[in-house]
Amino acid sequence: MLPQSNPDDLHPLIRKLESIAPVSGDERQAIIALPITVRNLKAHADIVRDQDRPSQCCAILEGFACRYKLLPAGRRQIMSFHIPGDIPDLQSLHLEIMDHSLATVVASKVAFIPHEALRSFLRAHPRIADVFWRDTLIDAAIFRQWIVGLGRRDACARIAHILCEVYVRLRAVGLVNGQTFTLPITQAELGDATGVSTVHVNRTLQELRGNGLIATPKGGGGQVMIKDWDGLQKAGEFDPTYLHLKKKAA
Amino acid sequence: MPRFYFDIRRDGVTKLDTDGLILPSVMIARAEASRAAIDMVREASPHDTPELVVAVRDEAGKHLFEVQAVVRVLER
Repeated sequence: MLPQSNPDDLHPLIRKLESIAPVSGDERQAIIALPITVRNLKAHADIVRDQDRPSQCCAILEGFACRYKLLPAGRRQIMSFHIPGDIPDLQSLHLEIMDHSLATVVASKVAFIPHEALRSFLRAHPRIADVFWRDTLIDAAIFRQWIVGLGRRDACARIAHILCEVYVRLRAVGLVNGQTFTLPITQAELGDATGVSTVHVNRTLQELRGNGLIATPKGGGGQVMIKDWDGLQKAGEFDPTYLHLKKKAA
Repeated sequence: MPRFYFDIRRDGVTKLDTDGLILPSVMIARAEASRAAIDMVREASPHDTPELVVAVRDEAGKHLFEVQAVVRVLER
């Protein structure tokens, strides 16, 4: 029994799609008409697990999520972070079995869209199917940057790069406050994402603050204030081109 | 859970840890200090002969232990 779908629910998804390609009024209406199940999930809740065969996709509406893989002895690699508007498991529409897990990082509001409904919608709106395809390609570009970071950048550059990337992605969907944004992850989670040990993450953040690049107010719930945007980008070897954002969003 | 402070000493210069990290035990702190030392020595330039020390204090400022990571070139 599906709860009444509020027309505003999928607004974050529309906003995200519009940040990478134009979306027409008709397409917007069709997105709003998608049958969805909205759920409020706790922090660290698995949305879909490694080896699952899901029958729906999940759009993040509020909060923050991550793709991760658990390895033997409890080691974890976080492979990407996800913000409102992202559909991190879109691949399940075409790849039947999950090769990684998706979980919330903080309490999040999500919308589940059944595969069949999404499939019919995309067939009826091939231009939006192109936009989803574009989004998946950008997803891959983000992975490539993370690979370069994990392979060749030092801890400071890896962390600075992630801070820049999350900031620019949140800015594109209007979720920043000037040069302040929220990255609601622990230092251990940042370490799992960058392949850096927890102490080194801790020390690197101190270094970034000490160099006047960022400020992280205590008790700020993951708030990051960028003090020197050019400096932070340089420290992270960050160039937003790979995010392929539309001009006005970038 | 106790807070531990991880000071980094490189070529005689010490960078003090101003924040510290809350960890379950000294044993875990030792493991984390070792991981950090390995991480940091990995980033040293090949032209250095890096000696890196992660020195750990407790909340009272007492010195608990230190982890040294050394890369030494021996000419033959």
